[in-house]
Amino acid sequence: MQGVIQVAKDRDGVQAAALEMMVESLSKTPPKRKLSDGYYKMAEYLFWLEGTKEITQVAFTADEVNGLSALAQARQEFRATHPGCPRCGAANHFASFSCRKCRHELQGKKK
Amino acid sequence: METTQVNAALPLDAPRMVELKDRNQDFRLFFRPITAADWKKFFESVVVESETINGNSVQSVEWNAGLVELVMATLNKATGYKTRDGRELQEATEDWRNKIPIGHRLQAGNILQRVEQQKDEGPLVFDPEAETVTLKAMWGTEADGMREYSGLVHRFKPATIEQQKRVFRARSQSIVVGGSRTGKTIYANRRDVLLGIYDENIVGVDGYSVRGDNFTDLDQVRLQMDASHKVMAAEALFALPE
Repeated sequence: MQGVIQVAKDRDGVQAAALEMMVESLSKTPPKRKLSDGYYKMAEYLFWLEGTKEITQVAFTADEVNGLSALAQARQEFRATHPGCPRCGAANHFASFSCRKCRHELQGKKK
Repeated sequence: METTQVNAALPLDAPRMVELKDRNQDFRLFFRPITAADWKKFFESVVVESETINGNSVQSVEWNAGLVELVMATLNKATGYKTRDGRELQEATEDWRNKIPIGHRLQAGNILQRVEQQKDEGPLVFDPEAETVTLKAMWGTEADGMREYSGLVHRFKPATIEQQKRVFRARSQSIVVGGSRTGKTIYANRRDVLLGIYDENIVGVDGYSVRGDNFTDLDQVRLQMDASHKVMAAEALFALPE
């Protein structure tokens, strides 16, 4: 996307940043980020908002509702590519041989 | 420029003065009271942006233009600027503000807005009744000269979730110019939100005086407190642990 972008309204960008941050959380050495900083700031805020709405009532703007939905989609995509370990539940890349947390042998790669 | 560190009360209502030293000469700049509207204009001029350069995020803050504008709008006297015939610059020309070196105006502006959180060594101490932020600031008056005032205490009632949301939301707002991948992020001004929260949550201050007295009336605090101190105190309330 080119020109002047209002980050809060760029749903695809926010979704991509949120997915990148989820993947980063698994890595010891985070890969270089692909988007402009504003997207990660927005995703951080949405993560906070998502957690907060679980414990208390919060009013949302239309942009926030769109953002939370982008976050949910990013999480779905993350789960599809990073299934949970059957033993400990930790997320692992679908091609991993063993769980990064408990070292349990994973089957996905062998197919 | 020599400054002393003091625990005396900071005189909020006294006209401010900045002392500068340049090539062994002393200069003094005197200002009219800097109002909330002056600060608001300055805050609106500050541009915070970040850009990814060689894979690293580089953040920059541009406030020089706003600082010079603040100085130009509030400066009402300058001494030490002698012309060839020995007169003060201010007596020699009506356009004296523009004739003061830009470096002096910038340095004065930097001093006017110099306020920071006071982080004492030792364990953090908590007040069960309120959240406390302590600041220190450069402040000069004709009577007392330039001083660094410390122990400037601001006490707040705890922020609500709605207030947290306002601050975090304001921090997250930005536009990107030049493409979502390589563009420059320009952050929105969040100081209005912080000023609002200061006025809503302040329950007391220490270390300041108005007309020579410590002031306790909260309406007066909201009215008289320097807006740059309000912003710094409110920002510190929402700071992440180090």
